Amino acid sequence: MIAVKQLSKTFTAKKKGGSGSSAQTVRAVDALDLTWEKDEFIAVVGESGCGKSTLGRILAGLIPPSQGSIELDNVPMSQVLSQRGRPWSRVVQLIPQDPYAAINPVRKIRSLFRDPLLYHHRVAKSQVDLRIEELLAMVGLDPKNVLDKYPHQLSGGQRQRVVVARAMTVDPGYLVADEAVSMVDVSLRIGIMDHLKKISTERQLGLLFITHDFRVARYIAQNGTIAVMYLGRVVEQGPSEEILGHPMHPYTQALLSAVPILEGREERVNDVVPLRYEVSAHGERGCAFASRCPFADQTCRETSPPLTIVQAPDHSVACHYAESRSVVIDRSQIS
Amino acid sequence: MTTVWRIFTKRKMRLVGLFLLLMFTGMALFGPLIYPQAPAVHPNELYLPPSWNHLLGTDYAGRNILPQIVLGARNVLYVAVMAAVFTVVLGTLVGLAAGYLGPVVDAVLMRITDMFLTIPSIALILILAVTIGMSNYFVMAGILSFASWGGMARAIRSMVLSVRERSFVEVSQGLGMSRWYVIVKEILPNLLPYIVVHLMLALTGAVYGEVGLFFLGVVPFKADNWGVMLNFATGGSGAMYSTQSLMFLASPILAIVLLQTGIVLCTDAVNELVDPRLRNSLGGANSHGRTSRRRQSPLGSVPVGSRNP
Amino acid sequence: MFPSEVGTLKAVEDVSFVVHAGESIGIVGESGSGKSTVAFALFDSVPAPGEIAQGEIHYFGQSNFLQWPESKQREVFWQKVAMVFQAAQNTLNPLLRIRQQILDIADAHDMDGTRILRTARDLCTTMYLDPDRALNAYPHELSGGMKQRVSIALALLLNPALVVLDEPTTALDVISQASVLRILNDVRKSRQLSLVFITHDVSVVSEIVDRVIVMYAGRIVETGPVRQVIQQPKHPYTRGLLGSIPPLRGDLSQTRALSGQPANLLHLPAGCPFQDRCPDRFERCTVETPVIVKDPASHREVACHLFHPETEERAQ
Repeated sequence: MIAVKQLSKTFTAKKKGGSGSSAQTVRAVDALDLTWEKDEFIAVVGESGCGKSTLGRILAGLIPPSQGSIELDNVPMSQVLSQRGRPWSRVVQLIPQDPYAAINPVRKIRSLFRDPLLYHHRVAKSQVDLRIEELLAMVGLDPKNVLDKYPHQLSGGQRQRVVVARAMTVDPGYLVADEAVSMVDVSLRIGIMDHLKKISTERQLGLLFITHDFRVARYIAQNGTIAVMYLGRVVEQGPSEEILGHPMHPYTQALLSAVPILEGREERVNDVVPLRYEVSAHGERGCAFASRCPFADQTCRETSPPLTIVQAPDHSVACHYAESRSVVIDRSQIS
Repeated sequence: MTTVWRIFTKRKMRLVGLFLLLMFTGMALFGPLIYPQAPAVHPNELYLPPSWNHLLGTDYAGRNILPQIVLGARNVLYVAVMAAVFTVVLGTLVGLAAGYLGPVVDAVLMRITDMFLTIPSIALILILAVTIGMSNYFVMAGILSFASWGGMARAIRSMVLSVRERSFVEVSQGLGMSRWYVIVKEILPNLLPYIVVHLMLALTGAVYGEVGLFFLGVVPFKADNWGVMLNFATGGSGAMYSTQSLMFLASPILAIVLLQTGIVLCTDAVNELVDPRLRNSLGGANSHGRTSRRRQSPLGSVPVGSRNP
Repeated sequence: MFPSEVGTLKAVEDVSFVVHAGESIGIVGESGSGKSTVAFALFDSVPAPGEIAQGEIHYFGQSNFLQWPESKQREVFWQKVAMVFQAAQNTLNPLLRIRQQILDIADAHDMDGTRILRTARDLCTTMYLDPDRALNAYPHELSGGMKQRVSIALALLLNPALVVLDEPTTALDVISQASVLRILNDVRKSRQLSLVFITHDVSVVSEIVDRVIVMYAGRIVETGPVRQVIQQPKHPYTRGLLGSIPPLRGDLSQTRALSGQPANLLHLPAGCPFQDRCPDRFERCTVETPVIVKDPASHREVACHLFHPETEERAQ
């Protein structure tokens, strides 16, 4: 289990203006708590700029948190290597978003796999090629077609599969996928997600899938959890069907309303439109979403609502006026 | 090898460049075999025009010019190649270190680099040449590269700063690979095309630099050098005032120009050789790669294909 | 104002369609399906080395657009037909304020600058943009969604009758995407605008177009009213495409990947181009390329050997 406690990450951006330069602090992740079971699938949903990618990179150990802690089975991140004999890179692996940037363009696929396998002594030298072929087959690629090619000779879908397979070279216990299918054609997304789910299920990996698309989130977290993030905080969290069927936070509802529906198959019964289309930073006080929330009042602007369980067993919401509003329904439910 | 051949045969000019380079390399390697002795002085054959016996004519002392050019190639190329390699190696090492090893290393190395960049290079070279005294080629190459690695280091540094932000570097770090690995196997290959092109350009720079030093006469004379020939042609033979020593002046100039042309013409072939992305014809089908689609439209150039949701 | 037939186009491989006044169509397909090429062909600007080998485009019932002189083609562009690209940041000049870019367009079309700016302000309001802020901004000062809305406003500046949009929301966030779609829908209704909306995601167009054209390997495989196509796709490719979109509610078990890779246009098999990925393939598919068949009753056209309008009718 990975436990995230009161995690914060602030970035300081130097702003050069006409009158000298001033530092501006951005809170990408703000006192976030999260527990992630060993074989749990979590989908983290939010707009760009909500801190979901930062969360992913902190979890993967790529950037240090500003405050708070991350623990693996009650061992703090910094002591995992000494106590468990495992570098953090073999605990959590990140699958980045852009399959075009995530593969070194001037190296052949074979060498991309060979090096991490040998470096971490995952296999004997004589077994390397066999293992690479296994890994590629695992993500549904034909090794013969891929191994001796350069990245630019592969399609976007193939590259994303290569990226997934490469993360598996070090046998991680948890996978963080950051928008791993958003740059792939809609028709090919399911294939990649199926492989990710299959790999994670077979090897009992925890899978945290970061996305802005509720369809993707639902497909990944079928029996898992959906967490909705806004400006560095989780504003709503719960079992995926519960979140999609009975969203309680206005932001979740706004996000769901924004998903283009399949006219004829689905119907939008509620349309929650945010007051502003752009994410706007918030001050120290009050609910982060208050400035865009169509239901906000004075209370929301003054006190920040804590994440509390509203619906047993574990549907929690951070909103003063949490109210279930069904947004999209399946047409077959009516007829 | 077939790859090399295919790349060079793709364009005619590359073959011309290759031919020129091979010709001069051949002169450098086998010149002393063809002309085991320095051309002899013939007092009654001064300033002869080109003929079968003297393809490029003769000089002020009646010596055949062609052997002088051929024998001069070795020394020119030797020093130029060494100087270019010094420049590129030093520039790359400093650039990589400054770009990847953090702000402190960066600041120190870049201040040193800036110092070298601000000193006028010709002045630096001249002073070094006079004070150290360029007795051997090695020292000479070192002095020539001394003044030119700064620009290279700066360029490499800024490229490292941009490459290290790319996702694949983070992926490699995320896989737990060492810092050394990331620099050598992930970042360096992406700089290789630039490094190689710069090597070629440094080569042309070093040729000019070296010939220039001999021409100015600040280094001990060696008879078999194009720069020395130029010096004598313009100085002692009065090529500036009369036409009789035209061939003596034109021959080294022609040699320099042809060598430089050869280098420049080969540069883009070499670039293609080290950058797999340019070698389209060698790869498999890439008909639906999203990145490769760039289109012209009435609104100007518009890349199609999602890159940044 | 203009005849009912806005345009007929034949490009890529035997692609023909008609956009009626005030009608919106969506062109859907994977990358490599030729949908973007169709968009460029509409403006006779297929990028080199491509060219339009065959076919005609008729705007507003006039003669073949492709044979017009360039100066005349330019007149149509922006004034009658406009285009919005996916990457808005690349169509806006990064060095000029939006206001200046608008004035440049006015200049190019011999229009009065102040009048155009007034129109632009109105359009900004329609796009939920603050006119003062948007017009005085440099492109980099705007967010992705705002830039895309600005480029739609620019496209509408000269009041065209037809707007072609190539993946206009693919690079945007969900909420920005919804805003753009909502605005497009409003504008199209209030201005009787025709849209040609090109995308790889059927769900994006389902709320905004009347008719959808599904393309595969440069050919049209199915067209029809969008709701009907989504409810009852007839071509196996359309079925696969729709089946790969996870529903937001209800049964997920029917969602599955469209197997295989998009067709490689360099090596198309004999017969139906979709045969390699088709679950319903039979012998005839490997020898004979299906032609598009129209069902007059439902206005649907399908290019599949398994589609028989008469029996379909009886079945319904």
